[in-house]
Amino acid sequence: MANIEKKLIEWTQKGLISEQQKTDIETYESENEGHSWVYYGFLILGVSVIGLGLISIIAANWMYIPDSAKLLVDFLLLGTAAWVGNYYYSKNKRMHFEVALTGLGLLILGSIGLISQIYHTGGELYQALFLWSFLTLGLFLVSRRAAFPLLWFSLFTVALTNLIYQFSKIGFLTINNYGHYTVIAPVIGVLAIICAYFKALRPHAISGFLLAIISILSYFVVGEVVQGGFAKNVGHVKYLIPSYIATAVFVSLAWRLKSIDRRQKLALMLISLFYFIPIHLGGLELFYPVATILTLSSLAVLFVSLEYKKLFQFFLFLVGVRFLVIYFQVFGSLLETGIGLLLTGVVIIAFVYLWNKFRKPIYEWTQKKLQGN
Amino acid sequence: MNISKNLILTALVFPVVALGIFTAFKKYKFEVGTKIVLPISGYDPRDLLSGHYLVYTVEYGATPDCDMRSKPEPSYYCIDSKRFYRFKPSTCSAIIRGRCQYNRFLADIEKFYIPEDKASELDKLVRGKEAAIEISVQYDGTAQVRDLLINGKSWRELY
Repeated sequence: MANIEKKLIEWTQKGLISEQQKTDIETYESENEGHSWVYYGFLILGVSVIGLGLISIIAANWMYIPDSAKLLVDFLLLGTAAWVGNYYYSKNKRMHFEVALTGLGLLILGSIGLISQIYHTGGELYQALFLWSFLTLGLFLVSRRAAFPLLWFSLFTVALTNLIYQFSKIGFLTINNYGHYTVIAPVIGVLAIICAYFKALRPHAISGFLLAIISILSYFVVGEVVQGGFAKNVGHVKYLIPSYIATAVFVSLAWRLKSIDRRQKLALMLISLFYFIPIHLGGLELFYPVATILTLSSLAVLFVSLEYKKLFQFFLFLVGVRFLVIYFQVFGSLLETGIGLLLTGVVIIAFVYLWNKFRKPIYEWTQKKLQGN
Repeated sequence: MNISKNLILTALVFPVVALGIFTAFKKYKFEVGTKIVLPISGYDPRDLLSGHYLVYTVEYGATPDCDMRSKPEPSYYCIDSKRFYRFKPSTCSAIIRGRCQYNRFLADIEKFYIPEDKASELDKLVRGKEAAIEISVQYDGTAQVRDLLINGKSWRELY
């Protein structure tokens, strides 16, 4: 049951509000805010899919388009996304502003890739991600919803862990190329919880639990992007020692957070255990995407039924990302993948728009039909 | 929302302007500097984020003074004497600044982006024919790849 429902029951029992007022509030919430965060979740998913589609098309490195034209289109897209963000902010449309923010963030990532291609810049992935983190720090700070801060945190942590491993003097941290990726998720969790302890960072809507649970599951996504289920490549359990330590720190810190209730803490423990299971079980390659999508979808359904907005949005986002990975695995060419993603994103947004527009007439029509019967 | 409009505008505009400056800087380095051609030999991995690119070994004509350490150590290549140095040489007219890692000298010029549909073809050409890269070297030793040459001609001339 959502917090608002609990509060309404409590207020009614204490005589603060009448039964009629309780019903009116419930009706208002279900008609307005209730659908808007689901709407926002799908909108973010659509924009993210389009953003990744553009990155794929950029990555295809179309030789037939002159470099200057590629850069011109890229900067026009960047400028448009920035303008759209500013427009929605001035109109006080928070949700649309956040969607534009996320779109701009993904476009910046694609632009770094494009500039790297055109001018053949060398360097490591973590350097590009640090540049992205620096450029988008302002977007992270002004964001008031979960999606962009989560994306920022995830990519920054990937950069940070890669940097640590690059310069680490400790042998077991550097021997294995795959084992160290498992440390990313728990490290994100630890950083998130440290943030949650600082009051100043709390308004960024990154509740410790949300980020922590997301980071643990992002392991699946990161892992499968790297190797289509990299757990089999970890090699030896000793390479997981940093991950186990980070997870233990993360869970113990999370356990002390007051903003998390007992049920969430238990869920956190279970998912932390689940995080390491595929690594030790091994088995079919198909196991990883299937297990990931099923887990993420179940959690999205669970959280939407409990009306936990941010968790629902996040898991929906992760389901989308996992499907994108499948796109990458199924299609041979990056250009085809990019076009496929672009179309998928447009379809998602069109569907969300149409659903939002015709939701009430459809509902009223079905109610009339039901009453007629 | 309680954030000032100027702050929002700064957050939105800063990355676009900074990317513009970054692009201009890369373009400047691309055009200005000492042009040098170095032979290469290579292979072709795939990276989802980067599309297709060739990763190769640059043939400097000398063995770098590197060991098997995985941690990067600074190193310099003098173009005049075709020798590697652990410290910046003062007598060279042009140097390439890089690092020693895993017994190799790396100067961030070991990657060349190519169109996805031409990747395997170019890979074969690089392996089978005389391939080289044209680089632009700055006064401080930083280098940037300008072009991939197959038998002395730009790869674009093949298509």
